[in-house]
Parts: sequence; structure tokens; C-alpha cells
Amino acid sequence: MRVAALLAAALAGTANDGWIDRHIEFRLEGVTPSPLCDEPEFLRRVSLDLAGVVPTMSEARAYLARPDRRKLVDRLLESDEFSARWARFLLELTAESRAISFGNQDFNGHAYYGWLVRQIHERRPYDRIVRDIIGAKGGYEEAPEVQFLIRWRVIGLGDLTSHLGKAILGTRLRCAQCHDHPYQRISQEDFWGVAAFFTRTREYANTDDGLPGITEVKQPFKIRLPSQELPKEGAPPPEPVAIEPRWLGASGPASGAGRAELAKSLAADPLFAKNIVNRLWAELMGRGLQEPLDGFGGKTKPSHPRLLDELAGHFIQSGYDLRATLRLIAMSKAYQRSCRSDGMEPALFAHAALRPLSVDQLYLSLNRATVVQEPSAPRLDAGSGKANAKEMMMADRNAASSADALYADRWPRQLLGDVPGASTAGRLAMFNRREIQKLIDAGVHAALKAMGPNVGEDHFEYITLALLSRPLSKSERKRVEGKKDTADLRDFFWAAVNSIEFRYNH
Amino acid sequence: MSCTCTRRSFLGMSAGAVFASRLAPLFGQESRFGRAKNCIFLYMSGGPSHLETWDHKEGSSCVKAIDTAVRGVRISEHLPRLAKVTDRLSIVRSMTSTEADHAPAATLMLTGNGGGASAAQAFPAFGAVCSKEWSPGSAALPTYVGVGSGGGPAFLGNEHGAFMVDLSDPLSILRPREEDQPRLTTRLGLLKAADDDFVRRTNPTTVTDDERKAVHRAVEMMGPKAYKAFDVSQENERVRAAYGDAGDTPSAFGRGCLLARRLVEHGVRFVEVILDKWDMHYDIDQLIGPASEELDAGMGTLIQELTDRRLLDETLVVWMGEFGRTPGPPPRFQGKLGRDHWAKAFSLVLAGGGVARGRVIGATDAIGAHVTDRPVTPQDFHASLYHAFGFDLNKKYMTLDGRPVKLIEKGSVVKELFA
Repeated sequence: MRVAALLAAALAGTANDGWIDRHIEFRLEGVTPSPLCDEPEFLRRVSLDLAGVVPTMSEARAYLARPDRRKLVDRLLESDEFSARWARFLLELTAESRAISFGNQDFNGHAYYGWLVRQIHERRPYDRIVRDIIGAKGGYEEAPEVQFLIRWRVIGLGDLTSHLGKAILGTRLRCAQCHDHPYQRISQEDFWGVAAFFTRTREYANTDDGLPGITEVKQPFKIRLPSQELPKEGAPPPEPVAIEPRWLGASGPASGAGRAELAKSLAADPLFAKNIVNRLWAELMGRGLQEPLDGFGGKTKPSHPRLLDELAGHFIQSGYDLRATLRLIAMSKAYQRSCRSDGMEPALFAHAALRPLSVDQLYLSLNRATVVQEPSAPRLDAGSGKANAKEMMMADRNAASSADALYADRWPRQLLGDVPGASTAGRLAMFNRREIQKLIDAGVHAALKAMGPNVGEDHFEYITLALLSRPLSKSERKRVEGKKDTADLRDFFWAAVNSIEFRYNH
Repeated sequence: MSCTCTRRSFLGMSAGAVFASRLAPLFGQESRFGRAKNCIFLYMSGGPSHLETWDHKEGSSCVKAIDTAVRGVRISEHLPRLAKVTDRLSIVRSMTSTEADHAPAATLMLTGNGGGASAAQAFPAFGAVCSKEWSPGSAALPTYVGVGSGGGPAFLGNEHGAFMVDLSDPLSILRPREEDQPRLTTRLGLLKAADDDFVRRTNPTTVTDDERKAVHRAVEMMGPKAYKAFDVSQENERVRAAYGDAGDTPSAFGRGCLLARRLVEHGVRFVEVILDKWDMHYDIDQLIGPASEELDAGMGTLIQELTDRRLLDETLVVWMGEFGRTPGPPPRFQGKLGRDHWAKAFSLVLAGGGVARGRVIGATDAIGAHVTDRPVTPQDFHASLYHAFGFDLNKKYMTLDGRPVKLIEKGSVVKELFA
């Protein structure tokens, strides 16, 4: 299917409201979906999804007094936290890890993160962002978007190309590296044709500060094909060969416009839009319409192919606007259902998924729920984006350093473990790590500061509002009845932080 | 493995142990089946050069070779302690694989299988298989501990994934702060009530069940037993120094090896320790010395201590990376000596757990490019591991997408390892 066809699908399908849900309901075939979630659930879920953090106390109080889902979604889409949260998403998508190693130095990736925050804040279309990342050149300081190329170039051109396929097209080109791809018609020649778009780039390090950069050279370098066959026993590895840049399936070599042409070819591929909307869908719905996310063109097919096409078409039509697609998904009934699953097949999207908080979500939420004053959110304005992006990063770090916490990057991986969700080490860390206990102390302090020194029901409700975005439940009211001690507050806070309800988005 | 089955049913007999020792010569390698009760897996992430470690080649290796405790077997000059304990090792010089990229090669070497098209089709790492098949050595301790790295459990379930240790501070997670200790019972009561409420509201799922099991296991680990096991500071300075865990730049790998020995003594059954310094595309001539010395102190001391404490017979030590490095004299890339990935031929090392002592298995050609004798594939290697562990290679497991699979489909046990 070509991009034009995706657009046609979008125009035909999205003329009326509720088109996402018509696709979802069509496949339910008699299964009764879960009812819509209640307001506290929606508030917490959509805040974690769009802004990457639980709502502040005042946001929670204001929303619960006057709930309006559309207004809430619109406000979150315009928030600074939104830019930061989706910058982290793009950072992980493009570079996988935040820090990069170059030469013998490690760079923390904050500059690239700041650049991404700025792109999202300034509403740069997604295709432009990708184009800039692919075509990046210059030094890391003035053009931090070179991080993507450097990150993969230092491992190898093959890794760069594989990752491009995986992240930007949602498809695995990797298997073509040493032999022809088993499932798709991408030959080894095709693979290295794409890789060859980068053969005029070279990474360098400044002599004074060691900061890396990407420069373009006139003479394309040759590629050492990673053959695992030696021509003859004892002979040296094969010589590098010159390869012409050629887009997948193109009849002839590329025109010579280099990486700009590659970016154009990528954006013209229908998988370009399908991949990103599928990933946005997965971020909010717990699984992609296509699973695995990098499995386009592989053995598994999308669960709702027409919905995927229409979402992709809509995304293109919106001018590659991430906010537009996220708004559509967040306003669908499918997104707003309760997470009561009652044994229903997850791929039906008949209920919301129970998703463990990411390390970032956990970290930011714990920090937010335990500070006395709402940290004044740093304002970004488009006019002086660069300085403000830096401010934003600093603010991010300052918020983190409040209550003596560590920056999320340096949080022990133990807190969630390698496997998201339940891990014994992760649970023990949350039970006992000193950093967490200090945060709990700070949270109790904040509750006392806000609600006065005489402990009562209000203090316990402060904790459920701060962590779980909801008032005290009936059974909780019973449990805290007559509790007057700060130690009781601490116990309650500890239990709330370790509860499934806090550790998951639901 | 028909011989495996025979052996298993034989061991099932009441007088099995007595007969086993008397009949051992008749059974040959079968008598070593299931001898390993524990495993310490030293994961050489990055792909160590076989030419600069166990498979020295005159004219190609950029290190010198030294004699070892086994006559005629020479290894890198940077491994002097390991040279002294080579009489307890089996060196396999004829590993051969098809994957030369880090991620898929690691998957292949850790699981014996390729990655599959989706997470649902992924295979468990062999540490997770041990966690599944072996009974826990102690309810207060995890069965599988990862120091710096740990393999995924795939379809075996989250509880069989590695318990990850933060080596800089392994203890503080095992005990509440002093002032919080009297509150623990109350807190756990409140936590249970909160989770009960949540599950009642949403309804129970595998996710909530797993979470509650994890809480249960975490609480079990908060007693004195685990604390003592993880407390490396109880070891004396001399021992710690021997492992390399001393001085200005203490070796994390060395401390990991020491912790591994301690944990195994206390009842942890599988410990994985990473040394992630082997991806030497550049400057191999400069990087190989320090990395090897760290390896030598950690692994050399470990083998000696396991011997002294009579733990080596029941503890299989595995030294393995994901592949080797390009053969011949190291080529120059951008003016620096380096080696790329090479999967056609590389080395791995096993010791203890019933594995033959002082043996070299297989060989490569004059420059370390090809296997010339006794090729061993990752699947053969895994079949051999499971032989040492006493696992049934015919057992079927269910993948997450509901297909019955065997862990090892094609490999066969490397008999020389057990003869």
C-alpha cells in the first residue's frame, strides 16, 4: 500500500467521530468490553501516558472537582512535561541508551535529550525530526542530534542500518546482514545499499574537549562486508568494497543527494507512518496493533490492519503531528476502558492493559508526590528554545535532586529489574533502599506541612491523592480510623508506594 | 539422548548412589551425568579473543604464551594463576557458531537457540533453566543470582529470572532501616490490604499473581540468612585481595567471583558474573593485559578456592563469551591494532561439576581461523551443560504462544568433556 492509499483510507474512514472504536468493536464479535474507567483512573492513566508522571496534588483536586476528559487531554498535550516525556520516548526509540561512548569518553546524552525536548515543544513534525537526525552533521554541542549517528556508527554501519529499519520502519533488516533475509524480500545487496547512504559520513572527536561530531567527506569509504566465510583457509578477511547507495526496491542507484535522499525515501515508505503510529498506540494501549513492534513484513500480521492504515493516514494528513495521533487514541473509548480484564484476549483491546510504570514514570511520580511545594514547572518558549531546553534539563535534574534522590538514569536498575513488573530484587529495593525511605519521609513531611501537625484522615487522603490520584476508599477509611501518629502515616505511605495500584498504570 | 534416559532411570533406583560409583568405569561419561549441583557462570561479554586467551598462536597472538600445569598446554602470559589451575579445566578450543553480532550471538550462546520472531518465542537463558529445574537450595535465597548481568526467563516465568545484585551495595535492600524494622509487620499488613482492594476492583490476573508472589519471596529474603550470604565484608582482606577486590581500583568482577563462591556455599545454586571488557575492536594490544589480569585474579582464585573447599566437584564453572575475534595477526584499523567479531572459531572453558580435568578439546588452524578438530556448536555446548546439570534433553516446555518445544533440538553431548 502506498502513502497515497493510506491517505485515502484516512479520508474515507475518519469522516465521523468514533472511527477508532468502530474498528475495535467490529472485531469484538460478541465479547462485551469493559465499561469506561472512572475519573480518578482516567486522570492518573492519561497523565502518566501523556506527561509521564502522576498529576500534582492541585491538578488532581481541580480535575476531580470538575472532570472534563477532552480538556484534560488538551492541557496535557500542551504541557512541558509532555515535551519531556515524548523526548524520552524518541531518545529511546532512536538511540536506545541515553549515554553514548565515544573514544574513551562517555557522554550523558543530555544535549540530545534537550534537542528532542525542543523539537517536540516547538511542534516540529515527526518527519522533519527524523530527517534532521539522519542528516545530522557538525559537533555534538551545536548539533546534538548527531548523537543518533554516532551512537550506531561507532558500533558499525550494519548496526546503524539495522537500527534505522527497526526504529523508523518497524521492520528487521538485520537478518540480511550475513545472508538473505528469511521472511522478506530484502537481499544482502539491498541492505548494504541502504547502509551505503552513510558512506560519506565520518565521526570525529574535537582535539581539545574530545566532544564527538559527524562530518561529510567527498570520497565515500568502502564497506567491509561481514562475511563469516574466508575465501581460503588462512587467507586474510575480505577486502572492503565500494557500494552504491540504493533505496530498498529502487530500480537504480540513488541520485547522489545522500542522506537527504535517504530521509525522503524513508518518509515515502508506508511503513514510516505505520511504524510510528503503531508505537504510539503501544505506548498508550500496552501493546501494538502490530506485534512485535519491529515485526512489519514478518510472520505476524497486525490485529486491526485497517485501523492501523487509517491511523497512519490520519497522521500523515495531520502533518506528522504526534499530538494529533495521541489525542485521537486518548479520546477513544478503547483507551478509556477500565482495566477489568475478565479473561478477555488482550489483542482485542476490550479492556485497558495493566502496565508496570517505567523507571522514569516511577521516579518522576515518586518525586512529585513527595515534595512540599509543587516545583514551578520550567516554562519553555519557542523564541529562545535553546537556552530554555537547557533550563528544562536542569530543572529536570533539580526536581530529581530534591529529597536527595538520584537522577533517573542513575537509579539502580534493580528498582524495576530487567524484566518489567514483578522481580524479587526490585521489590526488595522498593521495600528497603535508603533513597526510597528518604523519599517516603519527605512525603510524610509534605503531608504534615499541607494538612497541619495533627494527623487525621485528611493526611491519609493527601497520600492517596498524591500517589494514586484518588480520595481515600471506604476500606482505607476504616483502616486508618483512629490513627494519629506520623509513624502510621509513614507505614501507610510505604504500603501505598509498594502497592500494585501505584506500581502500575491501570 | 537415549543414554541419558537410561542413566536417569538407573539413578532412580534406591541403591543408585552405591552402584553408580562401582559401575562408573562401565558407564564412561554417563557417570558424570548430573554431577553439577551448582553453577558459576563467568560471562565474558563483548567476545574475548581466543588468540589472546586460551588458544595462543605463534605469529598471530599479540601476547606471549606461558606453560601451564598441564604439560604441552600453553595459554596467554596474562593468565598466570589460571595456568596454575589448568589441570582442573577443560578448554574447548573448537567452538563454532554462525552468529557474529553481539545481540543474536549472546542469545544463541546463552539460550542455545536463536531469538525467534517475537518475545513469545524467546528461549530462556540456561541460568533460568537451572532455576526452573533445580529445587531452591534455601527458601531464604534466590536460586539464580546475577552480578552485573542475568539471563531472561522467557517462557519459564518471571520468578526464574536472575535476582540482580547491586555489587556496590548488595545489603541495604535486604533489611529495613533500623527505625523501620519494628514497623515491618504492620506495613506488610497494609500492603496486603491495599493489594487485596486493588485485585478485588480489577480482578486477579497473572500480573497481580506474579506481583504477590514476588512480595512473598522478597519477605522471605529479609531474614538473617540472605544477609549473611551477601555480606562479602565477612571475608578476610587477604582473600579479597587475591580476587582483585582491593586497592585503588577494586575489580567488580573479582568481587563478583568472591560473592559467587560465598553464595554457592550458602545455598544459591546459580550465580552469573559479568566481565564486560572484551569488545576490542581497537587497541587490543593495550587492553588485553588489564582485562586478562582481572579475569586471572577472579577466576584463578575462584577455581583454587572451590578446590580447597571441596566445592569444585559439585560446582560447574563456565567461562564463555558470545564469540571470538578475527584470526591472524591483529589488523590495524585507523592506526590501531584491533580484532573484529569472529564466530567461526573460538574457545570456552569449563571446570568442575564432573567435567574432565586438565583437558583440551578440539583445535583450530595455524592462525585460529577455522576449527580443524572436533567442532562444537552452541547446541552441543548446551546439551553438554544440561548433561552436567542432569536435565532431560527430551523434556518439552510450553512457549508463551503455546507451542511445545525442547530446549535443545539438535545438539549432542560433547563426550570428551565427561570421559
